[in-house]
Amino acid sequence: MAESPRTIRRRIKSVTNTRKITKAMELVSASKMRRAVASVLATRPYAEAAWRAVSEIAKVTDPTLHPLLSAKGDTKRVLLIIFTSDRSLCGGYNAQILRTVAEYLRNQGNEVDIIAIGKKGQATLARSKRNIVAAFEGLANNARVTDIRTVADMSVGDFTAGKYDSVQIAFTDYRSALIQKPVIRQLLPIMRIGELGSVDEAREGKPPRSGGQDLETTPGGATEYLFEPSPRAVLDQMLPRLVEAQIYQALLESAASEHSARMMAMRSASDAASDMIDDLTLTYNQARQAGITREIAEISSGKAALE
Amino acid sequence: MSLHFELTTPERIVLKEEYDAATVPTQEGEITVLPGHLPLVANLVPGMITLRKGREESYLAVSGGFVEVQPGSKIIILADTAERAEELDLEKVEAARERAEKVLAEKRSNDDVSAASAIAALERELARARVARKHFGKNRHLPSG
Repeated sequence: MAESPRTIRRRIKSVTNTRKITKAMELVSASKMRRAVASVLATRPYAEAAWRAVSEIAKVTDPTLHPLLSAKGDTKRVLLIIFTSDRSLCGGYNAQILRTVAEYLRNQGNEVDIIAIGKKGQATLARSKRNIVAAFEGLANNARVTDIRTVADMSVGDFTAGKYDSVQIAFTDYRSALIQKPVIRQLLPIMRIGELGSVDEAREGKPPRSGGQDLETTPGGATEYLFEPSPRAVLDQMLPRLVEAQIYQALLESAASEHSARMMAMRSASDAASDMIDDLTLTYNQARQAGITREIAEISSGKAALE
Repeated sequence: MSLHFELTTPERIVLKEEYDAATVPTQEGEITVLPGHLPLVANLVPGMITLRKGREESYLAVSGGFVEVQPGSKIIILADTAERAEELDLEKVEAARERAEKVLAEKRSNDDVSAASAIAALERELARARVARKHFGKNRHLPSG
């Protein structure tokens, strides 16, 4: 017990202040998380309706003829869009997604160009000398669709131009406040309906729809749709929007995950701070008591020496 | 028989209600959808959606997207952006329109891409201005509504 009661008291004070901060951050993250989750849910009707229309179109034209839907023979150049956070103090959130990405890159023999969204991922990937073609920051808060339009235009444009054979998207799937799972999904060529909205199915415990024939199976049966001006023109407009919606959803999922990861990190920091304060208070009282005992001993021995 | 009308953007559901008729601006021209309309999918252009319920009309500004008429008198609109007339502020919209016009005047000489996005912005603002004027104009002339 070498520390003086005074320095212990100072430490208690500083830990108490830290706890105030972590507590506040926890509450802020909790409310941001709720908002992000609400926006994730709000994007679903749009994507669902768009897919329904695409599947109607699939009945009258072969959608695989469209460049955004047709898979190329072999993939050589890949574009990877990675969502990370701008700020740290969010537990293992960034480490998790970056580990998944690093593993993916190791197993990928192809050339991979990267669009990094979020400062953290950008910094890490730049350090490991990856080819970053674009980087965006400050998107995570109250993102609107227009914010990711550049990303969408870039990936659709480069894919159609043949610069990339496939576009992948790496983000953190928000399963619950406790579980976030980093995933890498194919964005282009568009694979199947099941890709969208699968988040909520996972959350509700339903098995995700299997892919493959989804474009052909539509509820409602044989109603003939009219297309204006033509099925192809509608498809041309619709598919880029779908890509956009998917990127937007990934952004919101990542934001929800980030906030909940931060919330959990801050909660355990607050708990640790509380434990530490208890410990320090005990030590402080012991030191104080020891001090008093020592003083009494000194006084009485001093008195004894006088007599 | 009424028309089930739904308007969603990627961000939110703007409107979900029953109406008697809906007039929407499509690429091929303005169409009015009544209950029992044939199933249809069409591209939407920036403009004004007019919704009629009884004798009352309400307006929405949209900036492109799709309209899907489903069997069973359902009309679903997937818009890039959409505002209800009540949400628009005429002065702000006019200011935005002027800004868009200015940007377009500057960009026209430059490259195609920025000119195209400037045109899109202008069209969106024009549609908003029209809806706002219609909405507020209506209130002025017919205070009883």
